[in-house]
Amino acid sequence: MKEKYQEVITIEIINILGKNLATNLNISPPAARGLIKLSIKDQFGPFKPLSQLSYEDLKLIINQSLKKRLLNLEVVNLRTIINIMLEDLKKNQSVITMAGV
Amino acid sequence: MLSEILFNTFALIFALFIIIILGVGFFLLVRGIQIKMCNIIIAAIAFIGLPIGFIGNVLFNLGGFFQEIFIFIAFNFTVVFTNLTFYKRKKVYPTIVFAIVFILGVIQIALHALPLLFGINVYYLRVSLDLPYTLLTFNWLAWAAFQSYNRLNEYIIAPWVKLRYKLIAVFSFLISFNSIPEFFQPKGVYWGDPDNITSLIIFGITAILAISFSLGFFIAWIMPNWLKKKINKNYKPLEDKEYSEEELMEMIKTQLDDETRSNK
Repeated sequence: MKEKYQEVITIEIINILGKNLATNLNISPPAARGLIKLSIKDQFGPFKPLSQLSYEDLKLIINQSLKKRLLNLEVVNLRTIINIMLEDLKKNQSVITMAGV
Repeated sequence: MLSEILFNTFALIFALFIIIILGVGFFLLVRGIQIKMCNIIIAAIAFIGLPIGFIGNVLFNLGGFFQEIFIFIAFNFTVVFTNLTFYKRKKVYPTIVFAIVFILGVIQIALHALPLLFGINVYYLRVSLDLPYTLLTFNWLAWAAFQSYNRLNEYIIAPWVKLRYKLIAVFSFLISFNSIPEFFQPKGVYWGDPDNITSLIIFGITAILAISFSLGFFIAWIMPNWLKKKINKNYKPLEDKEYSEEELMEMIKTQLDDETRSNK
């Protein structure tokens, strides 16, 4: 039950990052959120629960697996998009705590 | 007679404040350990430290010096919590705020020790420096919560989370003025003395401010489920259709291609 609740909380972060990724790539928000979820799976495998993702984990996901996915999709302005995503995470980092307690 | 009733009422309010704030502290401590969040454990220590100082001074007569040490712990840990929660990757301003609060805290402790050691009365100097100490500690938290709330307003996130930001911003702002009434406390008069109307009023104001703050933080952190449900009544969380990896990547490629074509 606790895990489930925590998972909903992490989804809030994915929604925030997904909305910004969708705007920057000009793709639909569900596609952007899906891309982020795939990147989480790439980084930590299928067994790490979303509830255990920290600020550092999310930063790592953006910097590594999401970057790789975007590179494979031949996205232009890759560096700018990654920097914007990292900035979004930094700005909204408090959600991890405020929604997590 | 009336002043006695008022004193007892304010004392009761103050006792309730201590119980509530201790409750919030222990709740955060347990939650912080459960979810392994260091910043929440730090907030818990701040919440527990504050009432320990008051209890030690008022109930066990351990003195203002003892109380000030725990206020120092509470205020500094509050700033650390703010910095870790809202400004983890920012360096300059959070460090400056922490340094100022730390120095003001050390000065407060020193100014409490001076009368004990040398009998020098530094009451007004101490109260004057207590104002920026309290204002900075709690307005820093209030500002951080307010700024984040404004930023998050454009996103679809659970309304109870937004309410938590609002409550923390409002009640931190409110408690930041808690040291102002101290200026008007007559020198040499017992805090809240029923025979001194000024002291009694000041005691009343600080007790009301304190209970408001504790209730606001209680609702913010220990929000009951029925309240969460009520607040979230019109909120529909985003639910995405489940795609396979291939379907999703195909969809993204198509959308990116459409975007490229429309740009040409």
